[in-house]
Amino acid sequence: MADRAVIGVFEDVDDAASATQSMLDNGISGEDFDILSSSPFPHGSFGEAERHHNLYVFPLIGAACGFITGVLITAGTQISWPLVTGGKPILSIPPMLVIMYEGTMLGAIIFTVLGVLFESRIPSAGPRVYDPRVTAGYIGVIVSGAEEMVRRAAQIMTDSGAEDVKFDEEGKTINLLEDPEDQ
Amino acid sequence: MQERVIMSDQEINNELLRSVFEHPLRFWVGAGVLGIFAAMWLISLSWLIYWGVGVTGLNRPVYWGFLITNFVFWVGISHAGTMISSILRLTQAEWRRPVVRAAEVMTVFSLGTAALFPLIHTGRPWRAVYWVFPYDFMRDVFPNVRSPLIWDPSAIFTYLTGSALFVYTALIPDLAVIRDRSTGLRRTIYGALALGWTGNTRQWKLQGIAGVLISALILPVFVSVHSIVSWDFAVSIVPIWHATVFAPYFVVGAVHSGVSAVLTLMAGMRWFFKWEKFIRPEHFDAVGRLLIVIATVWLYFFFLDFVFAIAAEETRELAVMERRVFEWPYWFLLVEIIILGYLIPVGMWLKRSVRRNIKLMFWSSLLVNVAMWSERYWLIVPGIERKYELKFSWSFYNPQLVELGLVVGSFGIVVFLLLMFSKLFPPIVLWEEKEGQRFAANVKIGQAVVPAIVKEE
Amino acid sequence: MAEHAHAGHVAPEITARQTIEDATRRVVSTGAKFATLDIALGVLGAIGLIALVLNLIIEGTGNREAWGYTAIVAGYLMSSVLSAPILAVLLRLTRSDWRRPLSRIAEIQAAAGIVVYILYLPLFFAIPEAEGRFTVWVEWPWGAPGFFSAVVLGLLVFGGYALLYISAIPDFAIVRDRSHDNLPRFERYSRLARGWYGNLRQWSVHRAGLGVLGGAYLILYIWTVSLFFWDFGLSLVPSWRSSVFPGFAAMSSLQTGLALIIVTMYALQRWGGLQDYLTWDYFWSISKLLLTTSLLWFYLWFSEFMIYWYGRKPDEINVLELVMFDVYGLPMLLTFLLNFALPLFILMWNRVRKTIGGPTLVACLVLVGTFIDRLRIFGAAWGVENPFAHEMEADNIPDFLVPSVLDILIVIGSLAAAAFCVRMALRIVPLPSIWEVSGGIGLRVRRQYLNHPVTVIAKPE
Repeated sequence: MADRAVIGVFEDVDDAASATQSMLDNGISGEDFDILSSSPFPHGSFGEAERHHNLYVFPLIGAACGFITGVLITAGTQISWPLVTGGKPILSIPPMLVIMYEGTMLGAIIFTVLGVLFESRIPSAGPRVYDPRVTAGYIGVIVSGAEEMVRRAAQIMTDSGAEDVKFDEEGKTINLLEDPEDQ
Repeated sequence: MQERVIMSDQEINNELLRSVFEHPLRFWVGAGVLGIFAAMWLISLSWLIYWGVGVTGLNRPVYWGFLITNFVFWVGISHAGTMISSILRLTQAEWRRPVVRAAEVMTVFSLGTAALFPLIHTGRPWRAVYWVFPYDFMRDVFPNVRSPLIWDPSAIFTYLTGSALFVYTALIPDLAVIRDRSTGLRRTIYGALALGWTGNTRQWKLQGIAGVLISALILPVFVSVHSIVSWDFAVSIVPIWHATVFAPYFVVGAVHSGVSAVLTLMAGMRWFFKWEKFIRPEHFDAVGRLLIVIATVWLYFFFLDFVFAIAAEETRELAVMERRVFEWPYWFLLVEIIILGYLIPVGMWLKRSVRRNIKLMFWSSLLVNVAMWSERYWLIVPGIERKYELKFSWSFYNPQLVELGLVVGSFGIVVFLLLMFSKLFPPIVLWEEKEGQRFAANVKIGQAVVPAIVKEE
Repeated sequence: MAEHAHAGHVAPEITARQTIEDATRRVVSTGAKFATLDIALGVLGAIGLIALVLNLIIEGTGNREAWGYTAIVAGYLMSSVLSAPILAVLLRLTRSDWRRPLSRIAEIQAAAGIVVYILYLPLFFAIPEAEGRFTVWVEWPWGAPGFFSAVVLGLLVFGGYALLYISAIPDFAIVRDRSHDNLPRFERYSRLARGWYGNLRQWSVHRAGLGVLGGAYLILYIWTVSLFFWDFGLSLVPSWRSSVFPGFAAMSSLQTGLALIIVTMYALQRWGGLQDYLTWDYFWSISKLLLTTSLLWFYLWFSEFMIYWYGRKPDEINVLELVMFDVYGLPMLLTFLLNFALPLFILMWNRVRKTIGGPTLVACLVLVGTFIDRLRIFGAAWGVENPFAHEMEADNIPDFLVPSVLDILIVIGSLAAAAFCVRMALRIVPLPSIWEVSGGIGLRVRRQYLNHPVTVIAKPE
C-alpha cells in the first residue's frame, strides 16, 4: 500500500498542539508527523521527535580542505618562486599562517552553509503536501505513512479544530511553485 | 525593558514586506538622489582611469591618501554586521532581532565598496587583477604571499563570501514568505531562491544551529580582517605605523564606527519605512549602552598607541607625533577625533533620555563616523609623508577633487545598494521578529509585571 | 556527567530559605573540617613572609635580580585574585541572570589583595628611576614610578575589599539576624551590617553603590594592570616598546581571573556543599568566556609577535630572542600550549563545555600557564642588567633568571598566603551571595509552553 500524506492547517497554535497531543495519545508517534511553521518553536513544543543531523561534520571537513589549500598555495608559491624579500626565509611560517587561517575559515564557512542546505534537505521540489498559509502564521501538521494512520490523524486534526485538512493526491505531489489560485 | 507591540505573524508579514511590495514616492526620490551620488562616483572613476593617477594628489612618497583612507573606513564599517549579529546571536541578546539583517547587509555592501578602492588607487585596476589572476603557473611568477598586500585580499574575500552566505542562509525562510505571497514570474524567482523551504521542524532546527555556528565561525574572521588591514601599515617600519597595538586598535575602531553606522541605519529605516513598531527606543538604548563600552575600549587603545609613540622618545617618531599634534591640519583632526569620536557622543549616550531619543542618536552616530574617517586619515597620511629620513623626500599630501568625488560617491553607492536590497528583500528578519514575539512573556512578581523572555536553548 | 549534557536538564529548585541555610552554614559553624588545610596554608604563608624579609635584609633593594621572582609572583597574583572580581562587575553590568551564584565567588578572591600589596612593597624600591627609561612617566617631576604605583595599587586593593564588603552587607544582616543565640557573633555582624534592614531606600543606594564601585574597579583594574605590566615588566627591557602589551596583560589577567573562579567553583561544589547552586550550566556559561579570552590571548600575543618578527629591526629581534625564542623559549612554548592551544582544542567542543570537569581542567591549565607566562615576562625584565640602554643589543641579552631558595619560598609562601586569605574570608562572608541568589528565584520560572516546559527569565530594568 502506498504511503499517503495529509496536512492539517491550524490558525491557533494551541489547537495544533492539542491535535499533536491527541495523535501521540492515539499511537501516532512523533516520528510520523512533522510541523510546518513560519518561525521556530522551542524544541518539543508539539511533542515532535528530535531530528538528528550531522551538521557539525561539515565545518570540520571544510576547515581541513581550506587549511590544506592554504598550505599548498602559500608553500607552493614560495617554493615555485623562491625570491627572498625583506630578509625573510623562503618558507616563512607567520605570513603563511595568515593565509592558511583565512583558507581554513573560508572552507569551514562554505561547508557549513552547504551542510545546512544538505541537512535541511533543500533545495527540494517541495513536500507532498503544503499550504501557503503556513508562512502567514498558520501551523501546518503533516502526517505521512500508512493510509489508515493518515486517515485517523486527519480525523483527529479535524476534531481538534484544524481550519483545513488536505490529503495528497495519490501519485502526485502538490507543486509549491504553482500559483496559489491554481491549487 | 521591552516595549514590544504584540502582533500576529500575518501583521508582521504585512508590515515588514511593505518595502518589497509597495513603491512609495519617497523610494523613487531616494533612489534618484543616491543615484546622483553613485553617478558622481562613476564619473570620478572614469576621470581617474582616463587621465591616470596624476589627477590625484598622490605623489612620492604618499601613495596612500584619500583612497586608502576610504578603504580602511569602509572595511571598518563592514565590521558592524558581524559585531551585531554574531555577538548578539551568541549571547542571545533579545534586542538583536530588528538589527541583524540590516547590519549584515551593510557588511556585504560596504566591504564590496571598500575592496574597490585599493584596486582604484593603482590607477589601472585591470592590471592589478592581472597580477593575481590567472594564478601564474605558466610564467612561474607568483605573488609574494609574504606580503600583507596579499593577505589583505584573502581576508576580504573570506569575509565577503562568509557574510554574503550568512545573509543568504537567514534569508531563505523570508524568501519563502515572499514566494507564498506573490504570483507569476516573481513567484518563480523567489521560489527558486527559497529552495523549496517549507518551515518544517528539521529546517528550523538547522536554521537555528546555522545562526550560531556561522556566527562563531565568522567572528574570528571579522577580527582577522581589520587586523590584517592594520598590518598593511604596522608590519612596515614607517614611523608611527610600526606599532604592535595596531591590530586590536583598528578592530575596535572599526567596531566603533560600524556599530555607530548601524545606529544611523536603524534611525534611517525607522524613518524611511515607518517601522516604529519594530525599531524601538529600547533598541537605540541598548546599542547606545554597547557603544559606550566600545568607545571607551577604543579610547584605551588610542591612548596606548599615542603614549607609546611619545614615551619611546625616538627622534623620528617624535617628529611625526609633533606634526600630528601641532601642525595644520593634523592638530585640528586630532581635536576633532577626540571631541566628535568620544567626548560628545559618549557624553550624550551616558544619559538614558538621550539614548532613547532617536534624532539625537542619529546625529551622534554621524559624528562618530566623521571622527572615525578623520582618524584613519590621521593615522595613515602623516607617517607616510615622513616615510624616509632625509628631508628632500618629505612631502605634503593635497587631496584633489577627483579623490573627493570617489570618497563622497562611495557613500552614495553603499546607501543606494542598501535601498535596492530593501526593495528586493525584507531588511528586517521576519522570522526573527515572529520568534521574538513568541519568546516574549511576562512574569508576575507581587504586583509588578516584569517583562521576560523564554530562554533559548 | 552524561546526564548533565542533556539539554532540558535544569538546576534543582532552590528556595530562599535553603539559600540562607547553605550560605550561612560555613559562617555560623565553627567546624574544623578544613582546619588542617588552613593551618598548613597559614604556616606556608608565614614562611613566605619571613623569606621576603630575609631577602630584603640579605639582598637589599639594590640587586634587581634578587627580586625577579617576587615580581613574578606579584604579577601573577595581580592577574588572578585582583582580576576575578571583574567578572562580578561585568555580569552585573550586563544584568546576566547566571551571575547570581558566581558573583560572590568572584569578589571573595579580592580578599588576597593584601598579599599582592605586601609583595610589591620591596619592588617599589627596587624599580629603577623612570628618568631615561621607556616608561609612562615621561618627564614626570617626582615620585615616579615607586610612589604613584604604590598609591594606584593601594586604591585597587582597597577597591577590591570595598566591593566585597558592600556587596556582602545585606548578607551580613542575615547572619546578624540569625545570631541571637551567640552574642559575640551577633555583635560582630551587627557592626559589619551597619544597620542594614533592607528597606527600599537602602536597596536602591546599595544597587547604585555597587554599580559605581564596580565601574570604578573595572577602570582602575585595567589601568593598574596596564601600568604595572608596563612599568615593572616591559620598561625594564630596552627596545621592548610593544604598545599592545598592556592590552595583552589585561586580557590575559581576565582569562586567569576566570580560571581562578572556575577552580574555586569546582572546589565549592565538590567539597563546599554548593552542588545545588553550581550546576553544570554555570560551568557551561563561564567556559564560553574562558574560551573567548583564550582566543583573545592568542590574538593579542600574535599582534605583538607579528609586528616584531616582520619588522626585523635588529633590536626588536633581540627582544624576541629574549622573551619568546631563545632565553625564555620554553616558557613561551608552555604558556602558548596552556593558555591558548589546549584551552582551544578542549573547550571548542560543546559537549566538553557542558560538563563540570572539562572547564575545570582547562582552568587549571590556564592557572599554571599564566604563572609560566609571568615568569617569562618578569623573569626577562628583572634579569636585564642595564634597563637604561637605548636598544637591546645581542651581547646584552640576559640569561634565564634562576630562582634562589628564598625565591622559591617567597613564591610558594605568597600563593599559600593568598589562598589562606580567601579561606579566612570564606569564614566571614556568606557564600553564595544570598540576596542575589534568592533575588533571582522569582525571576526564573519554569513554564509549560504548548507541550514543552521552558525556562522564562524576567529582566527587570
